[in-house]
Amino acid sequence: MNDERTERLAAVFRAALGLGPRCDVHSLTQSSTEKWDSLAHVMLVSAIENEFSVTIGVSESLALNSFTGAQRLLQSKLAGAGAQ
Amino acid sequence: MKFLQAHQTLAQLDTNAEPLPFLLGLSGTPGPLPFFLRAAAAARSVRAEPHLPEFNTLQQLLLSPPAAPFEIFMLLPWDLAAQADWRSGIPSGPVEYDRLLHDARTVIERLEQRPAASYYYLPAPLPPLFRDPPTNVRIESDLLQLVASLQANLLPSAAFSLQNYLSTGHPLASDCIGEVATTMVDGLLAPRVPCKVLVTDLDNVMWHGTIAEDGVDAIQFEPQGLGYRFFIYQTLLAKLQAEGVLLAAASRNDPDVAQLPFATGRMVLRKANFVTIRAGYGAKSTQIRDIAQRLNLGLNSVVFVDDNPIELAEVAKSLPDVHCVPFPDNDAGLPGFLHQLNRLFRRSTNVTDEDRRRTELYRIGMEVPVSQTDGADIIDYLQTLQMRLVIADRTKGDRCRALQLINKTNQFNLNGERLDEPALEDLIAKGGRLYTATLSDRHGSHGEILACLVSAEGTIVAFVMSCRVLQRRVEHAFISWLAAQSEHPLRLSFKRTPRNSPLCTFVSDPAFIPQAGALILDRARFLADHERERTLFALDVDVTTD
Repeated sequence: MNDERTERLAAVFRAALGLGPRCDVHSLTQSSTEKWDSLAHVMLVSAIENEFSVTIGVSESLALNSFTGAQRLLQSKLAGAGAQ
Repeated sequence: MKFLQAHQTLAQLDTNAEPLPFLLGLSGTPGPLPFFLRAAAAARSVRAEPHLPEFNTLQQLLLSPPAAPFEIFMLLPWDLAAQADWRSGIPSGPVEYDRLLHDARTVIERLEQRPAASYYYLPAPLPPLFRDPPTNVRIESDLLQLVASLQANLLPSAAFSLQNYLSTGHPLASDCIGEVATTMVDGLLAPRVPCKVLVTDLDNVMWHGTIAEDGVDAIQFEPQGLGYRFFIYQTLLAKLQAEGVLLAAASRNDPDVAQLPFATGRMVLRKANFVTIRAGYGAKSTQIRDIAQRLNLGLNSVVFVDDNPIELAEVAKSLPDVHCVPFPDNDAGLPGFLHQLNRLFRRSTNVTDEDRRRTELYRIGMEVPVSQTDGADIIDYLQTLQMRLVIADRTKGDRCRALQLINKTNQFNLNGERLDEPALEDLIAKGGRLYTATLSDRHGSHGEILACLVSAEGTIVAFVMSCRVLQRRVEHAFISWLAAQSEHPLRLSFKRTPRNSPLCTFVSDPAFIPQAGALILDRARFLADHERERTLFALDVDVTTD
């Protein structure tokens, strides 16, 4: 995934999880982030879907528990769609 | 609006932005919808404050009275027919069609009781409730008919996501939430009364291309290729104009160049469809302000369409009351855009002769220089107009225009009270009288511009006048005539409304004396003070006095 998309995804993480603008999200995991509760998870998944015009399946959503995981998932989605 | 843009828009919202509290009524989980609603409102410099119902079912919410000044309901088929809710699975027993429809009607009746509500229906697919496929189709169609009776706005069916609904309880597809939220906020901020004037840009709005650069032969506006979108826009404008909406153009062009396409005879719209076609290089807000001023209409009755975001932003900033609507930059955006215009100019079903002639009537007003309608020399100027006022008794015969005036006029309106036909019939049956007045001057006829309803007891219960003839002293001439008709004191059932300041200015005349919540006209004083105004008119009266 290119730098622009990675930064956009990082911005989505910061906004959806209510993290500060300078927060380094690249090593972020659900278990280490207090604000990443089940409600925030729904917001985060929806925000990624909306921002990148992709659909994340239920099992994919359940497995999404880190920034790097989201990066990989998004990369595969966008490669498949050839979009964004 | 995408997520990050929404987030940024919200972050930039002025802390002093106007608050807009409303209830967001929906079953299930709101998900990110409140966030996108706040962002869509922030894009209009408004601080949306969506309140969510305490319980997540619409049925429970409808049992309590409205608690917010505005309400938005997002309805799903199973809000009307609970057995159709996917999350409950498919009922094992038989579903009674009539019973289901009866329950749906009950919900609709409860929704109809919400006076400040707007409704959005998401036509999600239904599970197979019935054995035979045609009945499953029929129920979808019947539910649609029911929500249509609510005048609900229809959301695109693609905005529903069964996956989201099953996994989170939130029914909207993530990709569509921004669009849905913008539609809802547009509905909330839309004027409570319909707009009256559409000011449109020309290049790349009325036609594809730039007239000054491409030339009249190269621009496209015909129903083919790149011209199609512009052709369809023109056909809607032609329809709106025929139904009484005033069209004006404001373009960055040389005046003679801007008019060229209208003279080709190949476009749907002609010059005669417009009250004015303005072209120049000043700010569009200046052009729009001048048009509204000459038409004697408030800026909140103006809709401005442009394809250029800079022009839209300039007008939105300078004239915040004007409704700015971007012209879509692709065909996909066309349906939503046209429906938005149609909503802003919602019209009654009855189109009167006045509606059809409105452009012609208002064009006369455009010819009067603004400087001549202001200032101390107004009476001298009015003398030159050779005005003729014909007062008619409409107690019997055609009352359609009078009723329309009473129910559409906001600015020069005695009390803002609306009147339906049975109520009018009732007042007249009890001895009330209905008068109208028609004005003409050296420029032509302005049509029937005034209506006045007097009860059997001599109280003026409705007194309205078209805003396009404000400042001509018609009201003085009419009240003078009416005051002279009877020996009894004339009482006016006056009430201040948020929009009737022109009427308030008129009744601030010292001859109107406040008394017991109404106004009493000091007849002798009014006639003495306004003798000069009466000389402005040649008066014809077609009234049978008792």
